[in-house]
Amino acid sequence: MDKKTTRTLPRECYLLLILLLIGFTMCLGNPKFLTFGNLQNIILNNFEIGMICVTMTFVILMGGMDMSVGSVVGLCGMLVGVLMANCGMHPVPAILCALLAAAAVGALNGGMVIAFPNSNPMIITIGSMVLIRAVCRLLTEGWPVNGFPLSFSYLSYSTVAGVNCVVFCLFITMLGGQWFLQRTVMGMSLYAIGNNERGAYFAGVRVRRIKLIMYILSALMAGLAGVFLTSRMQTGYPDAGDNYHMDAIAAIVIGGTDIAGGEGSMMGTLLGFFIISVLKNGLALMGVSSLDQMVFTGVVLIFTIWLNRWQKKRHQQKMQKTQMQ
Amino acid sequence: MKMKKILAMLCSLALTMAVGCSVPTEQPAAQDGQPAQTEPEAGQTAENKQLVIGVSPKMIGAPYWEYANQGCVEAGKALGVKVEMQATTTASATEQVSIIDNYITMGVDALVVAANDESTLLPALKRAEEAGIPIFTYDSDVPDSARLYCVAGTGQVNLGEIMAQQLVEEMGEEGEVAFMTGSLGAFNHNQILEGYRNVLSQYPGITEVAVVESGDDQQKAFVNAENLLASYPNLKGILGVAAGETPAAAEAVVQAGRSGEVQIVGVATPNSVKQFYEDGTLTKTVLWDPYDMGYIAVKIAVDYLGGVEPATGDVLIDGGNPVTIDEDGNLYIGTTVFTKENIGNYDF
Repeated sequence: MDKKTTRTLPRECYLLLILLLIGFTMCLGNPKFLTFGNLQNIILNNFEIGMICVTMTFVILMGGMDMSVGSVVGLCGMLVGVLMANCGMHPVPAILCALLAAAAVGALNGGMVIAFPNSNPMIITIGSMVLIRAVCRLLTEGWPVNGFPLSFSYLSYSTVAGVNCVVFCLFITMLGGQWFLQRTVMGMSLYAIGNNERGAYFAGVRVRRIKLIMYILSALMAGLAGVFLTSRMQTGYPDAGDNYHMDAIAAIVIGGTDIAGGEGSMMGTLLGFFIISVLKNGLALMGVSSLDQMVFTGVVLIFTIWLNRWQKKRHQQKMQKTQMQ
Repeated sequence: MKMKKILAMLCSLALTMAVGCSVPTEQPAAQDGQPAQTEPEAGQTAENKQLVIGVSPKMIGAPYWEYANQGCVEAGKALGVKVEMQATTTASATEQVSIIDNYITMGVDALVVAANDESTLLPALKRAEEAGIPIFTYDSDVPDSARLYCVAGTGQVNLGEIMAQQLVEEMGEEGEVAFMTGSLGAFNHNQILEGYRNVLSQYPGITEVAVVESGDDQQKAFVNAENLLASYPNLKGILGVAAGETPAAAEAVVQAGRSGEVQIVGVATPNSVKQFYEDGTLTKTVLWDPYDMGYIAVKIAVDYLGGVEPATGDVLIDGGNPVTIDEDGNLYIGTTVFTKENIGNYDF
C-alpha cells in the first residue's frame, strides 16, 4: 500500500508524451513528416549531436562539463580531411589519427579538471574549446578541405536493409550508454560522484581515474562525430560543430538530467534529443519561417524544463508525505 | 523503476518503427488538413495548385541578405507562388544541407539556393536532382550540380572593366594608379584584375605602379593604403577589388589629407563607405543590387516551371538592367554604380 502512494510517473513518460504530441501536430501540419525518408533524415541531420549527447550525459552526470566537444568535432573533421586530401592517406589510418588527436584533447581536458579541482570544469573546457578551434583554423588557414577518396563516404552513406547504418549506430550507442549507466560499476559511480564527490571518494570510488576516462570518452565521441560529419558533408570545415555543445546540453537538460550532476538518465537524453530534432524538422516542413522556428523551439524548451521541475517537486512532496505517515 | 525505463525505451523504439510503417494509412487523412495550414496571404492563384519555391539563402539577419531575401519574397507575392524561406542566422553549410533535405521532403517545385559551400551542398543537390526538382543558384554557385541557371551580379572580368572605366572617368586619362586586392591567390580577385588591366592598357598615359594584397584583412588593407600613399606621392587612382579594400583605402586617403586628389573606385557595400561620400573622398563604388538578385532568382524559377526560359537582353525586374546569359548558364543581372545621389537609397 505504502509503495503505491510513493509512485509517480517517471519523467521519461512525460517527455515521451510531449514527443508524441509534437509528432502528432507535425503530422497534421505536413503529412510528409511521417514518411520513412523524413524520419531517417531527422536522425541523419542530427546524428553527430546525438552521439555527443551520450558521452556528454556521462560527463554532466558526474558533475562535470565539456564545452570543447564542438571544437573537437571541427578538429577531427579537419584532421581526417587534411590527412586524406593533402597527405594522401588511406581513410582508415586517417580516421585513427584523428581519433588519437581527440583522445589527446580529452586527456588534456581530464588532466586539467583533475589538476585544478577548485576551478569549474566549464571554464577549463571553454579554454580548450577556444584553443582547439584556433588549431582547426590554423590547419588550413581557415579554408575548407575536400576531395576525399570515395570509400570515405561509405561511412555515412551505406545502408542495411534500406536503413542508413548511421541510424543503427546512434541507437546502439544510446542503448550502450543506457546499459553502461545502469549495469556497470563505473556507470553507477558516475551518479555517486555527481551527488557527492568526497563521499564517493571515501567510499572507494576512484574519482580521478573515472573523471579522466569520461573526458577522454567525451572527446573521442566528439572526434568520431567529426569524422562522420566530414564524411556526410564530404568537406571538412574549420567551423564545423560550432554550437554542438549547446545543442547537446539543451537535449540533456530537457531530458531531465541535473546540470549539476547526480541525477538523470540516458532515456531522458534520448527523448530530449528527439524532441529538439523533431521540432526543428517538423516546423521546417510546415513552412514556419526560421525566426518563428526559434521562438517555437525556445518556448517548448522552457516548457519542458518547467515540466521537469514540476515533476521533481511533486515526486518529492509525495515522498515526504509517505515519510510522515 | 528500471523496468519502467526499459519499457519506455522499447516504446519509443517501437514508435519510431511503427511510424515508419504507418505511412499509407496516415497520409490521406492528414492531407485534408494541409490547406488550412498553409499561409493564406500567398494563396492568390485559386484554381491551379500553387507552386512552392524553396529558397535557401546563405543566411538571414545580415543586411545584404535581408535585401536579397526580401527580393525573393516580393517575387513570390508578385508571381502568386509560395516562397519558403529558411536559413540560419549564421552562414552554415551543414545546416543548409538539412534545409535542402527538408525542402526535398516537402516536395517543393523548384529550389533556389545561394551556396554556403559548393562541395558540401553537392550531395544534397544531387538528391534534389534525383527527386526531379529543378535547381537554380544565386549569389554563390554550385557549378558541378545540375543547376539550370546561376544568378549573379556580373562576371568578375566584366566587374573589373566596369570599375576601371569608372576610375578613368574620375581621374582622367593619365597618371599613376595602384590596385588593392584581397588575395593574389584568389581566382575571382585575379579575374577582376584581368578586366581592370584590359581597360587600362588602352590608355598609354596611365601607369600601374603597384598591386598590394591584404589577405582580406581590413587592418592590413589600411596599412597597405597608407604605404601606397607614402611611396607614390603622385598617385592619382586606387582601385579596390574586395569589399574590405575600398573603405580601407578611403580611410587612409582621408587621414593623409588627400581627399579629392586621389580617386578611389571599388567594390563596397553602401553602408561601409557612406561617410566617405560626404566629403568627396569617394565618388563611385560598384556592386549589384541584392534585392534584384533575389527577385530574379525566384522569377526565373517560376518562369521555368511555366515553360519560359530567360534569354540575354530580358529585363526581369521593373527598373532593372537587361540580363546577360553565358554558355555556362550564368545569368548576370548587371551592376549598380553607387554615387552620391543614389547611395542614400541603400541600407546594407
